[in-house]
Amino acid sequence: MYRCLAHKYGLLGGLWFCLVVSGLMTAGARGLTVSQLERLDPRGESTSRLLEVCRELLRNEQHAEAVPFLEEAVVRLEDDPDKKAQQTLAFSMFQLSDCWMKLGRYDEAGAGFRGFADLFETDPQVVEARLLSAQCFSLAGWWEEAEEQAAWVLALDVVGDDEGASALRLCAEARFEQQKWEEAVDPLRRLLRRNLAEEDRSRVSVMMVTSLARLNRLDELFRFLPYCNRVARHELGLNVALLEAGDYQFHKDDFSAALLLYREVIPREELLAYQLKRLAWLEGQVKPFVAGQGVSMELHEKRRDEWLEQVRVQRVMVDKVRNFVEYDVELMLRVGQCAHQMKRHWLTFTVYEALMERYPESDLADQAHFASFAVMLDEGDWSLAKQVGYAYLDERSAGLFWDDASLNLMQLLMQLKQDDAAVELGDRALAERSDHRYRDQISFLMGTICFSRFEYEDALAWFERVLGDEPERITEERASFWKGLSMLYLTRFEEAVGWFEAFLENGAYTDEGLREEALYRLGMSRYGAEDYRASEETFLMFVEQYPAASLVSEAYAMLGDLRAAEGALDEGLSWYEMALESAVGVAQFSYPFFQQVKVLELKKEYVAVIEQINGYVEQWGLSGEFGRAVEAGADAYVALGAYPEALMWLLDTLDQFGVEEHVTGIEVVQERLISDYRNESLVGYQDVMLQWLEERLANAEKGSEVLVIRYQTILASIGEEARRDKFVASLLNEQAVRLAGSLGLKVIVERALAAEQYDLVRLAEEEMIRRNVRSLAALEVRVAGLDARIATGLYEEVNAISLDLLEQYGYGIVLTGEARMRAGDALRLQGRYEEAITVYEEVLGVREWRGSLTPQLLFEMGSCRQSLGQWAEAFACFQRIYVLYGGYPDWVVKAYVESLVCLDKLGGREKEMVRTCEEMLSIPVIAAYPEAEMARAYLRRLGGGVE
Amino acid sequence: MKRRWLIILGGLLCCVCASAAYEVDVSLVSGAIIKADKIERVDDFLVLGPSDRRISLEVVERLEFRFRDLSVEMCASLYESGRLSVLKSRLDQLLFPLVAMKGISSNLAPYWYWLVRSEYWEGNRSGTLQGIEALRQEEDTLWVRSADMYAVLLALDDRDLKQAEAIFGRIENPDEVSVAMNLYVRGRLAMARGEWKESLQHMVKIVALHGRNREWLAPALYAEAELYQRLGSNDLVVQVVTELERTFPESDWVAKGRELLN
Repeated sequence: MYRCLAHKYGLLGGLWFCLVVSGLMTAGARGLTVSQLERLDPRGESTSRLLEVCRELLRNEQHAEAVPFLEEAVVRLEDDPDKKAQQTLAFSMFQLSDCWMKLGRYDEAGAGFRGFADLFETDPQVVEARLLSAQCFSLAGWWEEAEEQAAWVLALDVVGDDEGASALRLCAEARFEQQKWEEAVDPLRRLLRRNLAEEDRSRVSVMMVTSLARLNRLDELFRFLPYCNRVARHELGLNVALLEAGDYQFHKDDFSAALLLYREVIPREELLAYQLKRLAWLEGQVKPFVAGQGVSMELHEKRRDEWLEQVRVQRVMVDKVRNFVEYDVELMLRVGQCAHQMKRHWLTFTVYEALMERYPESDLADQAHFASFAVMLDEGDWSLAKQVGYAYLDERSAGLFWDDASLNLMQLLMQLKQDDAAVELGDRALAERSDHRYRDQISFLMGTICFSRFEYEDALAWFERVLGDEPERITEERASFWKGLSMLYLTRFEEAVGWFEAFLENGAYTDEGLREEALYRLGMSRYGAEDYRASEETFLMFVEQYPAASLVSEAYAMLGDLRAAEGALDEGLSWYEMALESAVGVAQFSYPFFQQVKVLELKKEYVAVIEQINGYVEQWGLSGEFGRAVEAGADAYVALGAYPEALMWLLDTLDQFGVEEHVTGIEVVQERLISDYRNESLVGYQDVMLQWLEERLANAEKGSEVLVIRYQTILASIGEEARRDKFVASLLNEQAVRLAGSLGLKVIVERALAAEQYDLVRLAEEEMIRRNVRSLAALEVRVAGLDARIATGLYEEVNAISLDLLEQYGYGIVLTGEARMRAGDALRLQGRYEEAITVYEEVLGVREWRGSLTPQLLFEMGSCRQSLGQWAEAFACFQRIYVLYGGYPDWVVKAYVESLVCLDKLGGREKEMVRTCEEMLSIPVIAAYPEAEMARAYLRRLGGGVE
Repeated sequence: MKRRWLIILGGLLCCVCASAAYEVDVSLVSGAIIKADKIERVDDFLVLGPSDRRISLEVVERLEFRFRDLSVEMCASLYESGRLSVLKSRLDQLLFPLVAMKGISSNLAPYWYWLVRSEYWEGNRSGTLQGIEALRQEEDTLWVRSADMYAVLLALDDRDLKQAEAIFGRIENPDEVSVAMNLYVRGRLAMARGEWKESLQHMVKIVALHGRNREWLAPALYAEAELYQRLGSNDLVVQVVTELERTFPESDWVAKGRELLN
């Protein structure tokens, strides 16, 4: 500023020089002492003396002292029209303004220069005065006045380049400071077209970016930004402007614009690093004087002072950035929030992950962590959502969103049908946070999981817990309903009736869906409580109140049941008819349909049954309860004593639905035909069956390969062995594997295993996996696949597959136990007896698998013990078989034999051996086995008793 | 006739400009420094202007060029403001007469690097390759690796995934070249393998964490849009193309992005 003024000052130099010289000549002395000044009274001196003093004081740069004399001069001259007086007045006014400016009295200086310019419009210094006025006003913060003066200069037709640049700068700055963004853009743009010094360009760029940001002229802003130099780009002000513009867009819900603006903001940390680096560089430029470098001492000092000034300014900049509020984390969070709102989930996730990594200690990292979990839920990447959700719970035990995360994760696990994990998490959530914000919801979910697992007692306990823990009203309403439902399923009908009645009387419960179902369940509860009249009334009320309800068909069906149970079969049938009319979907249709069939059977109206069944099969085909319909239809024919018609109907049904590849459910027809063949009461039809089957097979050979395989599957399972072999042979090939249904594949693997065609077994297994069928037959094929692996020495794969099957099919099926047993067998056959025993024990520990599997397991465990030389333990295994599982003679006989081996090995157990042999031979079934000969041989050797 | 004079005048001007385009300090093994304003390589000698002094390469330690009209900072500035063709033509003029300096230690590597970048994004395959070859002569492996990264992109542009993977596999610590570029290259490789989701994860990292890196932001945004299209998220394609339009209004990426919307 001062440099600039000094420069400008040169223009007045000439006139001033003359005055000073003339002053010197008249005064004949240099400067005025304090005592001289004290003796002078500006108002009392003559004008010539006044002007003389002024000159003297200005010459000595005694600006403060000059002010009263110049003021007095101005007062005396302002009304004097004389030309010379006016010239002196002009000079005095200018000098007075200059003194004020130098004294830092910018407001007075600005007004003074302006007064000068207004009064002496034709004066050559008028432009300069306007500019000085504008500068002083801007220094005083009088932006409106500064703008006015600068604009005056800009409005001139001809103005010097430097003056034009100054006017533009002052005008732009004044408008900028007044937040006249629109008006500021034009002078800024004009300035940027000029060849500005780097620092000036930075300052102008900052104003430009800020103005454009405030004006929401984002397209221009983004076009301009790349042209900002590094200094400007790292200006705190510019970045704050971008940040604020981003915030403005964010609050306007224009997340796309906000994201772009936020992206351009340089983090404070990076700004500080840049400013510090620049400071270090500037400090490096301040060098001591070294003689002989071609630079004079004077010039060196001048340059050094310039560098020092820049260092000072830079230090201010560093402090400004350092003291500025920390915004980096908030900025990242905002970017993430924008991306989330825009549903760019992976972008959001990346931002949040980065935030957590860069600012792990920040409070916002907690929020970001939870948000990254939420965003993966939105993305539907369940696996990653689970991973992030668990990580949040594990790493942020004090996190603000722990309660939300645990509830959401639990719901996710339930959605993924991972109920065990959901229960574990629910337990953990309630244990770790006794004041869990959503404990009512967690408990409610726990209850529903128990309910879905048929653990109604536990479910009831959870729902009661919800109700006893001041739940939210919605949760209370749901829990209350489910409590009643649990009572109903626990057959605590009386309590259920009372509960549902209370539920329906509670006016606070307004969920119409729940009220509707509660009324239906009340009817069911009254039915269970054998209060049939009340039950009937309830169902009647239900169908009247909710004629369009989803359960109305079921209510009609219940009314049918109630009437039919009373012996009013025709009334029952008419209710079933209404149930069928209002049924939605096959599941709702099937119940009243088969109830109707039952009533018709009771009425012995088999022809009607057949008619109904045919209609059902036509309507629903394999998507309905096809098996049940086939059985009911065939039974009706049998009841009419018309088995050939039944057979014909079954074969027609097979022809109709058995053509398609890989359909499920059709096997029931094949199984019915096989079981009919084996049914003693239908022995008389065996020949006809074989004949008709072969005829149908011949017909099928003309058209459908799939149907051929289906018939071959039946024929391979019935009739004499030699006859069957022909059909078995036609099934043991790759084409048959590809086309066979589940039953066909089951027959194929049985036969292929027997024939040691393990490749075919594996092929059938692959085919089953490819079809992704989950049925009993499919499981049998998979277990056969394990047998094939064991037979071919591929032991390593068995354990993993068996575990996979267990996960798919669960513990409720013995076949999964067999699969696990195969894992034990594979270990045993590798000589890994200890591990094999562990697996066998695991299988033995499952209640659902006990039965035929147990003697086998005990026997294999005994074998392992024998191999380990643990004879006593082996003996205990074998002994358990013949003591506890006498119903399995094949295993009993083997167990006896191996028991004898163990006792023999143990030594000194002759009496026990004799007793065992006698016991074995005393069981007629066992004594008939060839192995009994071994017991006899032992007895002879030991000299024991007689058979 | 007039035209011929113009051509001759133009040629003379070019010669004048070319001869004064740079200054070079030739550091010798002895520690001495020779200043020159022209340098040529003749067999195993350097011929220095204006005196046409010949110096054996054996005694030359390093060349330090100072271009009159260009600095590394200016390259960055031109690149950042999208004036690729200006940058490319300036570098072409300056560097191609100096191709013969390949293999001699110098400060030319960053200029070659800027050339590779501008040539690549201008779609000039042969120019890119020339720059890559020049960089591959550098002793500092960082320049070699930088060149190889662009070579990977060229191979990917040629749909030669095998070659791209082979080159990329050779690059040690590609993050040292540029984290953003490494992400982009990995994203493109994943895209070429048809691994859309994995590719997307790489690309959004550039958008999220290197959003002020204008070289990689634009292609990453385009790739993001393309990947959304492949993943069936058409709303997001529109969104990202709009973002491209606003962020890079005058770039070719906008036109490419708009093609995705058709």
